[in-house]
Amino acid sequence: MRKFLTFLILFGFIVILLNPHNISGSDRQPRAISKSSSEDTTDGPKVYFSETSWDFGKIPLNSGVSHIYWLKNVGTDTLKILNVRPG
Amino acid sequence: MDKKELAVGDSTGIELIYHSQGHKGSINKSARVVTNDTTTGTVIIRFTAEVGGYPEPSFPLVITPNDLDFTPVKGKQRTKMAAEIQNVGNKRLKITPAGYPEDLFKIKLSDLDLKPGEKSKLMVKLNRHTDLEKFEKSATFELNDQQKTRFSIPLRKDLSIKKTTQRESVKGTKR
Repeated sequence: MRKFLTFLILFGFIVILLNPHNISGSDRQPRAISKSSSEDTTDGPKVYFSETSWDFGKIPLNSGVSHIYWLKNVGTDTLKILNVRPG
Repeated sequence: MDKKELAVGDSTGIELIYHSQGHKGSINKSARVVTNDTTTGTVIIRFTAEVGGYPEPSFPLVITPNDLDFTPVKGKQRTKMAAEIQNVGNKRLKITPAGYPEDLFKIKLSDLDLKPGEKSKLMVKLNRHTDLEKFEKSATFELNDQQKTRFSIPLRKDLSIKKTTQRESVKGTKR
């Protein structure tokens, strides 16, 4: 009886580990699939920003600060930056 | 922005510069980036800041000077500038660089972990190839307090201002 219970527990663990929809797997897998699929299937230019917001935090009065936002063309054709305007 | 057209796999940077010019308080600014990528559409890039956030009694650090100006003095080039950062609060603070233009500067803090009352020396050195007549940059740091407080130190150089000032002063002496 004890052997049977041990077998059942081990079998249960194996089923959970092999299931692609288990909690940790579902957290990682869909993101990876959606990113690669969008990159692979998109024809034409595709813009990718490594970040779109920046917090300078506290700055002194009457001062100037700057930040560079990096972008990459992850598409299949030339990406043209047509316009950059405030607001 | 260096390039307006990017080949496949190529990248570029868009620099947003903000001058506070007498403004005080929280700011939230954005810019719209329009490309020929029809699937993504317009991308909005944003930044936030708290102008006049330091020096201020509620801010636990005193930074002297709080603005590093690399403009040459009496013709002498400045390739490195230093500032002193003192923890004037009552809690131990850890300072981490959050972001700065690494292609232009090397930044070093003598002590990243400051007990109350302790000081750290911030050294900002221009990289060898940084030969710009004018720049307006900044270095952002983050504290390990509960709010993850950030602060930025302006880094600038402007030869044109000095030249203009000199011309104006020459005119003044002629009169």
